Amino acid sequence: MTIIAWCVIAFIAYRLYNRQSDKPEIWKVLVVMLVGLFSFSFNTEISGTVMKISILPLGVWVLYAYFRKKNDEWQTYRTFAWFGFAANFIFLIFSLLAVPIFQVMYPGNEPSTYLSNIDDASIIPIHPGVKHQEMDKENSLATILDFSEETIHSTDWYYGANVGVAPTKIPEKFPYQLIGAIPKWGSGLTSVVYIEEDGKGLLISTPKEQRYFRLKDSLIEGGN
Amino acid sequence: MSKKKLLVIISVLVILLAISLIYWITSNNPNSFPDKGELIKEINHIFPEANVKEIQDTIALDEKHVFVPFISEKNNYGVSYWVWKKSEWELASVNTGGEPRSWRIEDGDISTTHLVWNISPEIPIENLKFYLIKDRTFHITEGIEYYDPGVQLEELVKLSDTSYGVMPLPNSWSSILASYTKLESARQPDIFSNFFIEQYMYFGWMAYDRLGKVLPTVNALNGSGFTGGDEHIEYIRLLDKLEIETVE
Repeated sequence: MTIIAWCVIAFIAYRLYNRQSDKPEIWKVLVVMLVGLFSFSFNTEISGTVMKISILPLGVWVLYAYFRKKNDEWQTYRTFAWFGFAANFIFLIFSLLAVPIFQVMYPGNEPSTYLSNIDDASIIPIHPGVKHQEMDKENSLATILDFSEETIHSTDWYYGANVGVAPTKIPEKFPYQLIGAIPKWGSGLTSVVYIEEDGKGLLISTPKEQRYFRLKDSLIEGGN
Repeated sequence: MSKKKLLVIISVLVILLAISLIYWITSNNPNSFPDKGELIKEINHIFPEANVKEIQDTIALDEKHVFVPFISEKNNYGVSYWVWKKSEWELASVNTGGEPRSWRIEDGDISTTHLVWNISPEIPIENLKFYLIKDRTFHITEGIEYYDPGVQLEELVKLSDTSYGVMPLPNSWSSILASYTKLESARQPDIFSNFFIEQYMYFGWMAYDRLGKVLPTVNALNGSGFTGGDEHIEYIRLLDKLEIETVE
């Protein structure tokens, strides 16, 4: 996204440059734009992403002070100085656009976003109550496509583990962890994936949230 | 500047470069580990209380970290930790008691932890069981529920042949720790993730006698010691039966 933003900025700068009657040196234009980019800004969080909102064009002021006695030159460079400041908003627009695009490309409500490649994945027991199980790799990519998202019942799961559990029952609701699964390409998502005893429940913790999915079939070999 | 002067400056620079290169190579490539006699002398010099009689073994954890169990004149089974530092082998820590401890040999990487111990054959411990534990938790913030499953990994070690031992973390332990390290560093990119993981995950151990009974605290394993430097050597928790979950 940032790369596209840079391309747009470069394109507009090129158009501005061509429109100018007297051509200043290109490296000077670039310096002026970079200085113009410098601004007083504050960060705010919009739908989970930090956005930088610029208010004061500090860079433009610096340039204005520098060009104070060279009025002619200032006329040439002024457009680029202000455009440098405007570039902040081009970046802002693109990071605002990035949020819905990211959500479309990497939907958080689908297990396949977190588990898109499971070639090197394995299921590890994290509780002594369960045995080692093999993952059904042949079918698992299809398995995770047939799911429903369910509510997290944190208290039930927690207290279910601590009180009134029959000794034959495993106290941990999610006694397995899935290790080595790779998320969708380009998503940069980090997650820890827990699996229910029947191999059909996935609890996925990401740095920001947690999701719980139930699958129609089991990820464990012979679990169906 | 005359040619002669220039020549002198260049040769001085070359010599300095050669010296620093030699220093760099030697300080990064550990030379041979001291022999048993030297080890005894060094330990008894730094910590006379240890009173080493016999070095039992030298176990290299990697190129730069060596675990050395010993027996004292008073027949205590002790432990010492050696680290290659500043171009020499340094005694990082010594203790006359050999109860299980964890030694994280690379500061930033919890998966490089090794569990070490040295337990006198007179103590009726038949098996050691090591644990990696994460307590089960939940929280509800602004109506959003969050549940964190409990983790309890176990590894049984038989104390048959030798009184001492070193156990690198089993693969499953390392990969689970690594998954949390990754998650925590994505959560808090500015802070060392070990710091957070150590808040909710810990190592533990229990001792079993020949009949499979859990032994309570074993005083004979306690000792006194000396620690210099900044090695991450820590006691691991002696767990009570009630602290672990068992399934019939």
